[in-house]
Formats: sequence, C-alpha cells, structure tokens
Amino acid sequence: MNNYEWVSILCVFCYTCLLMTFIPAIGNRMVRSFLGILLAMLLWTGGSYCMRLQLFPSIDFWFHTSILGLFILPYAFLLFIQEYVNHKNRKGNLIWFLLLGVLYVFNVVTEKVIPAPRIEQIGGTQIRFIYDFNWMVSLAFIVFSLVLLHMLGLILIAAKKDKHYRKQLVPIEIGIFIMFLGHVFLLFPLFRGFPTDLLSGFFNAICMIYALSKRKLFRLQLLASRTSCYSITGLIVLFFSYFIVSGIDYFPSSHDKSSSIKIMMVFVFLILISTMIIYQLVKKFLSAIFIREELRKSENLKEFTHSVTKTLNVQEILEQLASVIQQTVKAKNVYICVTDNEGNYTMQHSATSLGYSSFVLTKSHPILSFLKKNDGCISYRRFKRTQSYKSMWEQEKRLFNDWGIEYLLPLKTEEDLVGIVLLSAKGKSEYTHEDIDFLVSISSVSSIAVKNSKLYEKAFEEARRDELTGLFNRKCFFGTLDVLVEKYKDKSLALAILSIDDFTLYNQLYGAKEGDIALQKIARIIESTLGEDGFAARYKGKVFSLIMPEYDIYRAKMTVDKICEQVKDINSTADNYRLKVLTLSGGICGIPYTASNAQELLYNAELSVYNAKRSGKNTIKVYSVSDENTQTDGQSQSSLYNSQAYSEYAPTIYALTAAIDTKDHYTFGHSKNVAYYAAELAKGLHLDSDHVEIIREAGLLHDIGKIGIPEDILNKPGKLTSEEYEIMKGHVENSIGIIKHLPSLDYVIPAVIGHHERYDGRGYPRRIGGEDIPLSARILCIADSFDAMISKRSYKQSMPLERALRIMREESGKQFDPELAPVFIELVESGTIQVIHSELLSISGKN
Amino acid sequence: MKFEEKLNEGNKQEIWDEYCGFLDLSMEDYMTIQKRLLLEQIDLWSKSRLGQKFLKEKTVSDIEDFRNTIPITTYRDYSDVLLQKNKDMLPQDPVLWIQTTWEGGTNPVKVAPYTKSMLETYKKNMMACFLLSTSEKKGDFDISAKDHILYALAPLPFATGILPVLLKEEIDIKFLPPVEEAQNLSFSERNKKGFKLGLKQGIEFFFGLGSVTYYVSKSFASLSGGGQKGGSLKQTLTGVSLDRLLKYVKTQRNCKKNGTSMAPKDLFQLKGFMCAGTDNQYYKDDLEDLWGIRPMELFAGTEPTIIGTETWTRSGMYFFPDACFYEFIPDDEMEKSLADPSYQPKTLLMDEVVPGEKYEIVLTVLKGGAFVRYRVGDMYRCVGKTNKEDETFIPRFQYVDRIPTIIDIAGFTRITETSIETAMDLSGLNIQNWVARKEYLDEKRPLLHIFVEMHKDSMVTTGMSQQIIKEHLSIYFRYLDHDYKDLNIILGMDPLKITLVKHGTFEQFETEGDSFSRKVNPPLSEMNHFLRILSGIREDRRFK
Repeated sequence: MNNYEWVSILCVFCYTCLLMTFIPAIGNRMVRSFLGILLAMLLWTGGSYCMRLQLFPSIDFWFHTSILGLFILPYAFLLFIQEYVNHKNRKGNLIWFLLLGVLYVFNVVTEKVIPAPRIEQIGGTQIRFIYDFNWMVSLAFIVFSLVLLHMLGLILIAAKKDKHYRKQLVPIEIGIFIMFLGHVFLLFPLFRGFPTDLLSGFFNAICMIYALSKRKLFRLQLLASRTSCYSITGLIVLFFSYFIVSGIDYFPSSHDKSSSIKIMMVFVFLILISTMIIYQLVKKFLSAIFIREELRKSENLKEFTHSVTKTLNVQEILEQLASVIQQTVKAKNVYICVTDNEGNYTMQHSATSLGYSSFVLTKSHPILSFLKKNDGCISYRRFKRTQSYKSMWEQEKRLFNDWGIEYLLPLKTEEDLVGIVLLSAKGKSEYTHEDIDFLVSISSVSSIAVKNSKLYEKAFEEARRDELTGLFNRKCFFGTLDVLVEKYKDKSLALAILSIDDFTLYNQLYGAKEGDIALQKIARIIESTLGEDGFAARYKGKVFSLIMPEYDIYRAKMTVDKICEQVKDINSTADNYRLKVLTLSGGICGIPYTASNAQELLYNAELSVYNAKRSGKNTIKVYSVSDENTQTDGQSQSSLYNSQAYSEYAPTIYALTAAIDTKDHYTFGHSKNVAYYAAELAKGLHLDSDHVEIIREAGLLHDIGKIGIPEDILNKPGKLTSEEYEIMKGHVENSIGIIKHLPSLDYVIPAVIGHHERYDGRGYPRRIGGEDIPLSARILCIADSFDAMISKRSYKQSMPLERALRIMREESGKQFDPELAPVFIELVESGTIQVIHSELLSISGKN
Repeated sequence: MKFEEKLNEGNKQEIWDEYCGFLDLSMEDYMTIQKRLLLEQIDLWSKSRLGQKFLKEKTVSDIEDFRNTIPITTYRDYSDVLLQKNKDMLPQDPVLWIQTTWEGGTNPVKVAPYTKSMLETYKKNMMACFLLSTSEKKGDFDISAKDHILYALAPLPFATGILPVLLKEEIDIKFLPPVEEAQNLSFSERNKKGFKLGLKQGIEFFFGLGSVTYYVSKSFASLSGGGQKGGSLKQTLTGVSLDRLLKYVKTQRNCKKNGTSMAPKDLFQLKGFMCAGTDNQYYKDDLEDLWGIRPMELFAGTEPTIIGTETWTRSGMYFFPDACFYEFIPDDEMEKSLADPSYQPKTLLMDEVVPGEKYEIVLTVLKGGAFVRYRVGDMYRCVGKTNKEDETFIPRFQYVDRIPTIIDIAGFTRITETSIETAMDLSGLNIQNWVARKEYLDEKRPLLHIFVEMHKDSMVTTGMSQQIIKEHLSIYFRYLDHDYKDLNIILGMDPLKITLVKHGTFEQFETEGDSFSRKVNPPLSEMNHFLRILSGIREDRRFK
C-alpha cells in the first residue's frame, strides 16, 4: 500500500458497486450510456490499480489500459448527457471519437502525450509512480476541455428550456470538474507521485451516488431485488475484511493463544456489526434510486381506482381521494371543492378536522377560469404570476396563503371542470415530478368518478323531488313518513296537510302559468318556515304535506299558521294586485296525540283538511275524534260561485253598474249585453257553471272604470283625440282599481283587465297575447266587440249581423282567439245566442 | 419572490407575462378583473365608516347599483376624514399617507391613504413600467440589478417618493445620488452629483416629471461647462472609466469646435426613460434630442397611485386593470357638470369608450383605497380600442390636460379661479375683470395667460403697465403657492403672461349677448368671441 494503491482500491470499489447496481437494471439508452461511463471509469481506475500492483503482463500494459479508460471517459460522458437532455443531433460525435482515438493511438505508439510513469524507489521496498509530463500533455487537456465544453453547452441549452435539468445535473457537473482539476494537479510538482487524478475519480463517484440517490438523476426499473443488496454488501464486507485481516498482523506475535482468540472474536464481531450497517446503507441507496416508490404510487392509484369504481357516493370518493393523496404525496392538507347546481364550487371535503364548508369559489372566480384553460397539476406559484391572479380578492389571497396552498389540481372530464383539489405544502420537502405525475393520474380517475357520482346523485335527487316546486314528491313522502313515524313513535311527530283553496279556479282565471308560480311560491314559504327541522312534500296537485318530527300539536299549529299568513301575503304586492288572494285549508294530526301509526296519521290529517274545506276554507283544523262523525259522503262540498252565492253579490254588482249608468247610460245596457254574450259563449265552451257565472259578472263589471273618465270625453260625439283616447284607455286600470277593493269580487279581475288585450299581442294595457291572456278575458273580448259592432251609436249605424260576423272571422287570430271566435259565430248562427239590438240610449260609446 | 430573483431564474418570457401580460388581455378579461376587484372594493368600502358616511345606511348590491347610488366625489367629500388621518373610518388600515397640494382647497395639502395591497399592486405595475421602458418589442426587456437610475424625484411623503422604496424591495438598482444623500441636497447640487456619479458608474434609467427631467437634462450642459473652469473637472473625472473619459474628452472637443453644449446622449446610453405629470407632450421631443431615446409616458398620481403606461410604440397609455376602477365622463357631460355642480354626469366604462373622444377620468381606488367615483381632475383622449403594433385589444389613451377649471403648469402647480382671485385680492390691484387660460409659449412651454381689465379710476391714479401687474401677481402667486415658487426656483420658469385689455372690453363682450361660463379656461367659443372683440378694438384704433 505504499504506492497509494488504496486510492485506486477506493475508486475501483465505488465504481464496481455502481456497476453492480446498474448491470441487472432493465436497460434503456440512458441506462446504457451511464453504464458506459462506469465501464470507462473502471477501465481507468482498475488499470491504474493493476499497474500499481505491478500485475502480469506488465506495468506498461496496465498503464495503457488505464489511459484507454481515461480517453473513453469524456466521450462516454458526452453520450450520456446527450441522452439525458434528449439531444438528437450527434453529428459532432464522430469528430470527437476520431480525435480521441487518434490521440490515444498516437500515445500508445509514442508515449509522448501521456508518458508511462517512472518507478521511483523510496526507502526499502516502497515505490512510487512519477509522471514526467512535457508540453504534449496539453494536447490531451485541450481535446478533453473541448469535449467538456460541448457537453456543458448542451446542459446550458437544456437548462434554459427546463430548470429541472440544471438542478439534476449539478452534481455530475461538479464531479467532472473535480476530475478535470485532479488531472491538472498532476502537473504541479507539489503533488508529485500522489495520484490526484484517481482521488478526483473517487470524489466523482461520490458525486454520482449523490446525484442518483438525492437528486434522482434517473430512476431504474424493478431492480431492487435483495440479491443486489446481498451482492453489494458482500463485496463491501470482503473489502473491509481484507484490511482488517491484514491489520491483525500489526499485533505483536507474542500474545498467547487465548488472547489471539479474543482478538479474533473482536474482529468477527466488528465484521458482523459492519455487515449489518452496510446492508442497511446499501438498501437505503438502492431504494433511493430504484422505483419502489413509483411502485407504491401505482399500487395506491390502482387501489384507489378500484375502490372509487365501487361507490357512487361523492362524499365517499372525495374522502378516499384526500386520503390517497395524503398517504402517497404526503401533502399536509388537501381541500376539495366540487361544482354545485348553481355552477359554484363549494368545499365538500378537507383533510383537516377544522372543515371549511363555507368556502365557495363562485362560478366567475379567476381560479376556475384559469383551470378551465389549463390542464395538469398547476403550481399556485405559477397561477400567482398570471393575469387571472390580479382579480383575486385580498382575503382570498390571505386564505390561500394561510392554508399554504402550493398546487391546484383540476378534476376535469373532457371540457367539464367537476372539481378542484387544493394541495398544501408537503412539509420540508418539495413536490417532485413523480408526485405531479401521480396527481395528474389520480385526477383523471377521480374526475370521472366524481362526475358519475354527481350525475347519479342528481338523478337520485330528481327522482325524489317534485320537478315544479322542488319539494319532495309523493312517493318519497310515503317512504319518509314510514321511516320517521317508526323513528319518532316514542317521542312525537306531527303531520300537516295543506290544500290551496279554489286552486282550480285560480288556474282557470289566470292560466296554468300563474298557477305554477303560486305553487312555487307556496313551496318556498313552506320550505323556509319549516327549515331543517321538518320534511315538506308536494302530496298532490295543490296539496302539500309537512312531516314535523318532535313537534307537538301546538307547535305544529303555530308553524302552519305562520305559513298560512305568508301565503295570504303572496298576492298583496303592487305587482300582483290583479291576482286573487291565495288561502290554505289544512289539517293537523300528531302521534302519539291523535294517531298511533303512519296510516292513521295520514287518514286523520286528510279528514281534518276535508273538514276545513267544508267549514268555509281558509282555516286550519286540528284533528279530534269528533271530526270522524262529521264526515259525509262528499256531496255537499261548498262552492262559492253557485247561483245562490252569486245572488249575494248581485246587489253590489247592480249598485256599481247603476253608478256608471248615471254617468253613461249606454254602458249599462252594453254591460248587460256583453254579460249575456260572454256567458253564452262560456256555456258553449262547456265551462263549469262557476266559471260561467264569473264571466257573466265580469261582463257586467268590465266597463265599471268608466266612472273615472271625464264626462266630456265619455260623451264626446265624434272621434277622440289621441290624448283623449289615452285617457279613455285608462278605464281598464280604473276598473281594477275599483274591483280590487271588493275582495268578494276579485275573481273577475283577470277577465276585466284583459278584455282589451288582442290575441296578436297588440292590445292594451299589458300588450300580452295568445294563451297568456286569461280565457275569461278572451271570451269577454269577443262579447264586447260583437256588441259594439251590432249596436247603434250616435256616430254610426248598427252594423248588419253578417258583416259583424265576417269581421269576427277576419279578426280571428288577430284580435280574437282563433278557437273561440268560430265557436261564438256558430252559436250566433245557430241561434243559440240571441242577438240583442239595443236602442240608442246615449250619444256616447267609444269602446 | 423578488423581481431580482425571478431575473436570476432567467425565464424572460415568464417575467414579461407576469408583469406586462395585461397588454394581452381581451376586453372581456380586462373587464372581468376590473369588475371583480370593484366588487371587493365595494364590499370593503361599504362596511367602513367612510362608506357608511356616503351610503347613509343604504346598501349597494352590484356594480350598476354602486354607479347609481354613489355620486361622483371630489376631495372635499373626504377631507374631514382624510386630513385628520382618521384610519378607523377607512376600508383598510393604511401603511402610508401620501401628500400633495390641494388646489383651491380649504387646506394647503391633501393626503391619501395607501394600504399594503395597494402598494403591492403599485410595485408590480411600477416594475411593468420599468420593463416596458426598456422594451423595443413585445417580450423584450433589458434590466439588471447592476443598473443605475438618475434621481429626479420628490421624496416621501410625495407620491414620487414611493418609487425608490418599492424599487429597493424588488431589485437593487442604484440611485444616483443615493436616496438618503439626495434628500439633503439642493436641486442643482443633486443634479450635479447625479451626473458626476453617472460618469463613473453609468446611467441606465431616468424617471421624473416631464418638466423636471427636461431641466435636469439641461443642467448637464452646465455641468460640462463647469468642468472647464479647472478644479472641478479633475474632481469630476476621478474614477471615470477610460472609455467614458475618452468619450468625454472627444465630445468636449467637438462641442467646443462647433460651439454647442454637451448633451447627456453624448456620454450615456439610457435603457429606460420614463416621465410622468402634465405637459409631457411639450417636452418629449426636446428630451429625445437630449438623450437619444424618447421618454415613455406613464400616469401616476397621489390619489390614483400608478395607473397607466405607454409601451415600446409610445402611441398611447394603457391603464392597469388592477389599480383603479375606471369610469369616463364624456366631454359634454363634463361641461354640463362644471356649469351645474349639482348635475350628476353620466359615465362610461372602459369597454364603452369611443376612439377620438375626450373624457374626464373618474376613479375608484381598489384594494382598500379611500376614494370612490373620485374626480381626479384629468382628461384623456381615447386614441384607439385595439392596436396592431402593440398587439393589444384594450383601449389606449393620451393624456390631454387637467380639467378646464384647473390650470396645471408643468405638473408643478395647479391654479384655480379661487387661487387667482386670492392673489389679485392680496395684490391690492384694482382689477375690475379678468379671464385666464392656459397657453403654450412657442407651442412648447406652458404658461398662464390672464387677460386683465383694470378699474377705470385706478388707471388715472396708479402706474399700471402689464409688467407691473405681472410682477405684482407673480409675487403673490409665489407667496400663496409653494409649488408656484418651486416652479421658479427649480425650473427657472415664470409662467405668467398678462394682457391688459382696454376698459370696457368685458362689458362689450356681455353686451354682445355672451358671458363667460367660468373665468378659468372658458370654453373655446366664448374665448374666441372675447378675442375677436379684443382684436376688433385694436383694429378700430388703427383705422382711426
């Protein structure tokens, strides 16, 4: 060991270990090119070692072998770097190959570039190798430098494009630099005889090990078998044993036998301990460079994929997603936001127990628009450098900062962004490329799973919901009632059934559209009043049911009363003045008070509703046993609009029409005629008697607003000016203004307000058209126009019946409903409708 | 991450996109940023006591509601809160108060609060200006931590004083002379020192008010002249690099030979040249001659912060989308509101402006600022909604001037009807009638032109030439207005021009059925009529 052969041994040992690690690896071009470096290093250091041991055949042979390794080395490094940075253009390689080859051959022949070392005897047996360089050695340095520069150029170009390269290759660059210096130092007399070149080779090996294990230069596939581990450990132990055994010689030979055994035992113990330590270190190194970690990740991914395909519960998927990310990537925290029905992204899961359920990214949020445009796992730092970040609110920035968000992972299916995963920092370490790859893979799996489960949940929810009101439907109601009764049978539970009064009429008066709006408004009131405490469903068309767990009868009645109060106010706003006031009739029953099971509860509540309807509507009845006896066969259901009821209002109507009569005699006769024609047409359309009666009353009252028109306009002979006509048109609004103060007559409002509307939408006052005009108004329009045409006025003669009917035909679909006008004409022509030829009572009559 | 660190990372495109990417925004994306940040500001502002003072328990739900509910404001609306620096009433805690003169106000100064996030935005936008000032095309810039900037700024608490503070946080560009030293030097000392240090270290950036940069640049000639006197030349040139020294000697010789004075461009090659303030259009050509590079104009103010910048094409300013929410009062609406202060002018948003039209700008300072729908008093002309050269799709503007009721001279002083009247009152001059407007000497330098009609009696009893009136008024303007005084001290300007009009001119003007709707910068039609009468009288006299 006198000629510094230990330096060679160290080098040979390191490169052998590395080679053993790589040889069983699944080869690709990059691994092979790295193997090339290792082989060249072994050739160089091994050759040097053999030379220093002065092995067979000769020093000269081993010297040239070593130099061959040295000449191959820059070329091998160049090939590896080209492979690593994926540099395709390798035309220049041939030049380097030839240059290095020629130089080597020249050196073999002449030994002028790097001359063979001179052996110098120092002391007795000790020798050392002395190199005597001349200027020719600079040729080798120049060529090596040029190759290295080429290599560095490639690294720089690649690092500009991707910073990853720069970081990864720094240890390799340092290793090369050290080796270059090591060779330069050979030229200095200070290091004469000391193999600085080989020592630098050792440092290069350290750099390589660092690059492979810490910087993850590249990963080797499926190699971390225990065999490799054993082999390397064995090699190292052998190496140490060699030194230790030779160390025994240093102990004095005078020791007795027992001492020798003790010494031997100590050595054996040391070898054992060092074997264990070395085994662990080698294992750690191997696991660092082999893809065991990736295997774990892919197993986690596989497991996750498998488990999320088995569930359709969004929450469950999100929990699993957060868990797999935390386990695999070791993110401190994971926050997941998922799109809701409004298109906002609400936080539905966070890995912390604190929970941030109130956190919402509104649909116009800049993060969303950014993620919609960008794919993959995106660093928050990158987002912060975009223009989208400019529109983030300060409190949002602070929140993201507090959460330590580092990455944004969109959950996308095709173009749909179904959710976002916000990932906080990993602690001390940073996210690696492998982490990002894993996150991207997991996002594609989970986005599909989340989307499917959302669709399923939506479909499931829709199946339970009433489409119009958004409340639960009848089927769901029955199911829930059974469950809740069973659950609360030992406590208390109240059931209320609420039915809208005269809702069929409401629909007929204002049309189905208004009816639907009313249903929706009532549903919202029920929902908001009941809150989270109860369960509301649309039980039948106009009937709602409310299940109120843990409510007693008193509390249930209070709640229902509140609902009724709010429902009454629905049409009290200025916008809805023309609509009839809505009221509810309801029945309440509760367990254990007046029922003991679900069936009885429902039956009793329904019976109470029936009683409420019978007792004049607009009331809430609480079920009691006596109600049972009041049940009849259902024949005596009251009607507000039968002829008997009408007679109650007749005096009011006549009083009002008489009031206009004093101002404009014509109007009263006209109103009576219109009432007749309209009622006959309604009969002809087979409307029910209530409806016919309403239309008759509407006919009588339709011009009541003319009371408010100045007499000079009302009775003006000749054509009205446009200003006067505008005032005249105001009689419709005036009519409503009068009638709305008579709640008992409010049902005629739709007909009155709409009788000057035209089917083609060009009428007044609301310029509505088609089916949007209430049916009663369309009927009144025909009756009103017909009477106006066939009546005699001061400024015109009465129109012949045929002409009036022809005009009606022509105007069908324009002014008149195309389905009603032919019916009316037919009724007139068949004589069902008797034509009344009024006498001129007044000189007024612009209508 | 500091700008300097980003620079070291070496990805120029990323830096450009981050700072200057707003130029690539579509109109829709631009408005999205504007509107979202305004909603944030509405939220902060309406919760504050300052906001409640305006809202009086009303609530503002959206942007339209905000524009309909909040009237256009002026500093007077905020003065009680801001002048007392009552931070409890503000939307967010200020970290800095910036000060400026309150033209025609009840207080000599007005102050504006700056929040932390406002300064963050300021910093980013300021760096964008630095990048753009060095760019010759999109994505191109040249800035380094080794650069030097010539100091031509007012220190804190004035708005320009923010620049060195914020710049230091991002990149270690050195000020010549260093900021701490510069603040203790007089204007001329500072310039001399700056140029001397520039000779040794180089000058790569120059930024200041257009007028100030012009006078600083002019002072370079005197510095080179001073060098000839002997002693200081040696002192000045000690430590100067050899090539710059040779260049200096060569240029000096050429100048002597040609009888010209040395210009900064002979010795320095600026990377970026920026100017702010008013009247820049009248200095830009001269500045380009002096430095060999055309200054890039940007707009920053005490209340609005830094809001706009030109680009490499120097063809109009673009407003930063995250500094303020911008509204624009069309010219005719502005005139209506100036004539009737109770009139609420209609405003347009950035996506509604029309190229060629002139607008008064109305700002809502974002990020917790105090001012909403604030009339800053500046007018801009929209010069285009897209630009092929810049590859932009957002409107760009040219600074026109202050609103007509304010006469701004070189960005230094702002003269109003009140300030002129106060000066006249104090002067004791028996002025019967007057009207003033801003004019430009040789179409280059701004001046305040006052047409004065003296009282009939005083003409008999007092010596009253135009020069006497000018000197009288100048003294009182300087006495009343420190900025006016600085105009004289720093820039050597006396911007006052007096025209003594014949007695009866104003009366005749009114007899002919006209009257001035305002005494400062009256509408052109009124002024033309007045001038016609003025010239007519003179002609009459000639013919007689």
